[in-house]
Amino acid sequence: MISIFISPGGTMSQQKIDWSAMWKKEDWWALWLGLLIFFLGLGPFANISLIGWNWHGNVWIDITKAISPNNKMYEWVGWGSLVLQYIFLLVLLCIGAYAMKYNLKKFAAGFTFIYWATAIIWIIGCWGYSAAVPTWDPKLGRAVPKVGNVVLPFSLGLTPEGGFVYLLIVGLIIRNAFRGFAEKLLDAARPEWYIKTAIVLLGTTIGVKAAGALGYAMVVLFRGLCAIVEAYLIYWPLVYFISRKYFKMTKEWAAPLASGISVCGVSAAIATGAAVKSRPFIPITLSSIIVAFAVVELLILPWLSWALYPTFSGMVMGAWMGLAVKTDGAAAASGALVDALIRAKAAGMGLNLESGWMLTAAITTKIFIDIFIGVWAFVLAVIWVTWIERKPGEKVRKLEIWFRFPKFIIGYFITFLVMLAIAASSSAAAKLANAAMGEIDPIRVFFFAMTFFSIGLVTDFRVFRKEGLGKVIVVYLICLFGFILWIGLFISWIFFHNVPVPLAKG
Amino acid sequence: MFWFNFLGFLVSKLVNAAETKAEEGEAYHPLLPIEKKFIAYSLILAVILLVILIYVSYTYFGVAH
Repeated sequence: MISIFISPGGTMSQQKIDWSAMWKKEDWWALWLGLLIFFLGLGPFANISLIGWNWHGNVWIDITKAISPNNKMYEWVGWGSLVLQYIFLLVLLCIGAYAMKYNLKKFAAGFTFIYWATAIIWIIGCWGYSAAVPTWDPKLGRAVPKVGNVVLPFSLGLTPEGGFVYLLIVGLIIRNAFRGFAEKLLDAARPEWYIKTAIVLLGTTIGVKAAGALGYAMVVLFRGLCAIVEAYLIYWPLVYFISRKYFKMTKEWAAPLASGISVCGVSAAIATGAAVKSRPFIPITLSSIIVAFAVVELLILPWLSWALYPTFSGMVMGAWMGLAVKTDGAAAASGALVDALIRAKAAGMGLNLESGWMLTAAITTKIFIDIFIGVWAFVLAVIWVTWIERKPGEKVRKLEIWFRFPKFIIGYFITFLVMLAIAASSSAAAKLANAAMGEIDPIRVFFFAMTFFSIGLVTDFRVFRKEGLGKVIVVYLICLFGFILWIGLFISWIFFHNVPVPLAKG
Repeated sequence: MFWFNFLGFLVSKLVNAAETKAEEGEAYHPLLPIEKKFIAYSLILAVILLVILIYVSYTYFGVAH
């Protein structure tokens, strides 16, 4: 987007702002696609349904009832909604892919596989024996899993979101066991693009929910902000100190590594690398390790959260995912899993927790982290230029904060605020907002699902064996499992232990 | 801090201290005083802000649900 980060001599003219980023970057395309789907989803306000023919999965025993269109008026479409959604997403994403100059043929072919594999695995994940959550049956005097009126002898109780786990595992198997085939899918395996689009759409759901619990939503937002301020200020210097002092890393390695490990993942490592003028391959190399470790976290932490509940509350666990898991995709994915797993566990204890709030805690902390990447990169650049590298005459532009700002977050706040304003205005408007959410949210869930599958597809565990990266990996392991996870848990506990997950209405 | 020092020392001994690819390029220099200051100020600021943010959170953003 910009030619250089720090301008020698401090002259503004040496930096060019390339506005074409608005149609060349995934970040912007997540914003455009998210907003387009959002506005199409507002059809119910004009008494029409423009995208109600998209589908969602149902918990099923009878396979014929496994999916439904998002709006009942399209029930006649039946399983055809799978095809319609495929065409819809293919067209939208191909427009973006074309603008970003991806190889369109490869993208379309890869997306076709990803879409259908995601859909099939998601439907399998909705199978009653996997997804049905045991609920209390007064006649039987015990908690039993049910699908409709059918009592099942057993169920894994994973909720439909258990499909996320299956998607991740299948993606990892394809990537690491069928490398040749996986390579062909990489053009369309875009977890960051999918998750950012999903987060823009998530604003809709959060906005509608927040309208019914405005005070609560403000608490979550503010405390999420507090949590990340603390995380930045504690994690970063500790990781930097350990990697510099004990592992003898140079500054150009230690600074982006500290940003990458500590809170913010790939984009932070790249932004920091630019701020301290690391050689370009350094943040790129670190990124591959960060992504691989994020998947390790994604495979472990949601289950650990499940085990720690109710010792630690659901909101603590959600915020913990946002603070501990790197990369937007893996953090949001972990939040979604925690939301599902803990609700399932709580249901077995007779508590019907409202869905989405633990995910909101994870996303809120992650979003604030993303916002602060630009600020942090700016602060580091100033410190490096002014004191550490001491290069007289160099200046850092405040505008860099905007350049580093993740733009999809604008989309999240637009959808959030628009829906909040509408749903809070009157009960009639709130009903329509709920109808719109009913059309938009399942698409958001599908983008989440594609994110899980794509994370698996892009995660090559061979990175752990890469020659010469042993020291970086050891620092990562020590810092992550030695203190980052536990400080993150402590901070989450401080700010969220007295914030209960609301109970579901009805 | 002792814990971090001890942990770092222990592991750095366990891991082969041989130079790796990660150390090519820029030469290694021990932590500069300004870096130490930066680290210390960050942690001090974190503690001060922790107290302030807990106070503000619990006072003005108590759970309303």
